[in-house]
Amino acid sequence: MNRTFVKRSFWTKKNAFPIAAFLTLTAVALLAPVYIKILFPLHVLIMIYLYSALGTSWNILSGYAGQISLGQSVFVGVGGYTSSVLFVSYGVNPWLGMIAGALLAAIFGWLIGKPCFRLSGRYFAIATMAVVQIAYIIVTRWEFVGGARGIYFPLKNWGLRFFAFRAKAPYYYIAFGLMLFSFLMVLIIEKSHIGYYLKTIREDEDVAKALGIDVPKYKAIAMAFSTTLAAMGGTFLAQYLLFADPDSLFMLSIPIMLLTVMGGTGSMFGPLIGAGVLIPVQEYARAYWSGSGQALDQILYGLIIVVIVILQPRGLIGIFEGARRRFFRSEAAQTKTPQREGI
Amino acid sequence: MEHIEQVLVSGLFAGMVYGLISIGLSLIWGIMDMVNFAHSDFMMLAMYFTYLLFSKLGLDPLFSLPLVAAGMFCLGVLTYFLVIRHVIGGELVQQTLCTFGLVVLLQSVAQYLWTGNYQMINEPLVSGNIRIFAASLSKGQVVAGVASLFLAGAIWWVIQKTRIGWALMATAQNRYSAPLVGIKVDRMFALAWGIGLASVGAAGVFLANYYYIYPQVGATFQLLALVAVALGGFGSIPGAIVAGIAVGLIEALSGYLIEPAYKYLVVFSLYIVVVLVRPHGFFGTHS
Repeated sequence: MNRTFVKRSFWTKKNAFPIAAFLTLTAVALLAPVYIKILFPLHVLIMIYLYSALGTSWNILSGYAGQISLGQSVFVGVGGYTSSVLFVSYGVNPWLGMIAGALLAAIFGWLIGKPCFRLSGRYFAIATMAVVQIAYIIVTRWEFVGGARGIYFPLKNWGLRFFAFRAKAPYYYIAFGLMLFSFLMVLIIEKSHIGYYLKTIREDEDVAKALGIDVPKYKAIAMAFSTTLAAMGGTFLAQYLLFADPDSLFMLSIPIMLLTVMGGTGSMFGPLIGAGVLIPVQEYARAYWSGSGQALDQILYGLIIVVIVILQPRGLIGIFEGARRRFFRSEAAQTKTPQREGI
Repeated sequence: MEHIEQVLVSGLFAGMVYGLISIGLSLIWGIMDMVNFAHSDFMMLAMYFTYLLFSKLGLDPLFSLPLVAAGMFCLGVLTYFLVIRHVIGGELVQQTLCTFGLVVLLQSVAQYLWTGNYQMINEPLVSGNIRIFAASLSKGQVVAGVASLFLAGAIWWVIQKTRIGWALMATAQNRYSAPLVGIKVDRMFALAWGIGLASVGAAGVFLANYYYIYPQVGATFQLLALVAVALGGFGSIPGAIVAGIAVGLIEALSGYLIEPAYKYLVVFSLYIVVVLVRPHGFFGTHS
């Protein structure tokens, strides 16, 4: 297999604007906790970063490799539960637990992927839905991991060493780091042959096979990236909530999928854009309305999803790209850049 | 031995209702190659309609059946033209996103309008129990099961024997060449949604006779129906009924033999095993 692709330099004039924008935004994001002293906006930002990372984990498997998973939170749960059980029952440091959880999730991913990757399209999606239900039933019945009650952390060890803080700012930085790590993963995939192979598998598996791509191997690679990231997000979520229970860790598959597709699948910043729009809507609408016990926040959430999918099928990133294209129209006309990414 | 009969009979009748729920899902899946993840949430809506007709107008579920089914038919056509039509050419992710958006919307609207409390229809016409062999069953369940079979037969007859049904089948086989023989594909899709939601609406009416009504009632039925469709093969009405009954029996038997809490675990595990052996179900014809 010939792996030579056209090498493009990263530090070019064309990339100058995105790089500058990225660095500025990062600087602003890093300074945010210094100026934001109210807890709630900080909480919303933490959730945006976390869901962006979780969305990216879904995006790698489903957006790039095209294997639509409706069971991503199995791996979030495995990650969160592994570190929590190790910490509460055996006193293992949560940072080590995070690595253990990621490894265990990768093993689970391999075990689930091995048979399920043979299924196509919606059969795969439904199978992953069934896997989530199976995992949920087992966890709620399994007393060793706290059953339906879940695991509550003993609130005595604080600090970076124990991955537990009384303030929100440290969580903020860790969540931000997790999101950057997720971007790094996507960058590794996008800039290497893996990305091209995965996109080929997504577009047409038979063509990928005919081209000599080892389809099961590359699906497994996507699964490994995806599960590791999801498990790390799970550990973070458990440490942030300071407990782990089936509902808060195993029921996130659909929200993760929704916000990623909303933002734009198969693109690096899609999950962040989706999370950046949906999470504030959800959190603020919930805080504002749901005191009265009504579900207006969820109605708004559902309406936004349906309207966006009708108006902009490629997700919110389609709007951004459209705007960018209009902005750089004269330049684009000269260089004739392809309008759609992918193969 | 009395217990096992009870288990088998109640599993059988529960399975017939699963079958009726699955038919609509199977039709939409088979005709327009799309999975409606909001299917059983539309059933939840039908259950609430039934409940409202009963509590506000005193109309028994048996009599509100045509009303609710007609209403659901219109809702199906409306949903198709307002929402589904715009994503039909899209990729699987967009279709999935769209129907899950509908799930969120339907559940939250129900929550907003009717609160999250459990509702129940008190003393409908068919209430009380009936003995079948050695098993005791609520009459509501028996009526639901028998009517499900009857309705499934009716839908199957329409599909197999009428010109409209042939047009639907032709659209399912090839939506690009169907227009060449004068079939309006758009209308066929709308019709599939109409029939799909009308049938799941009928299932909702019968369920409302003996089941609790709450905004998230669809969640359990959704996955069971998906499993039944995938087992039966999409687009196949006999497949949906047989697979629905199989799901009902497995659920009841595993609840009895192992533990009630694990019944869905057995159903879903078996599903994964079966679908790995036969990826297109037992009655599926597509390859």
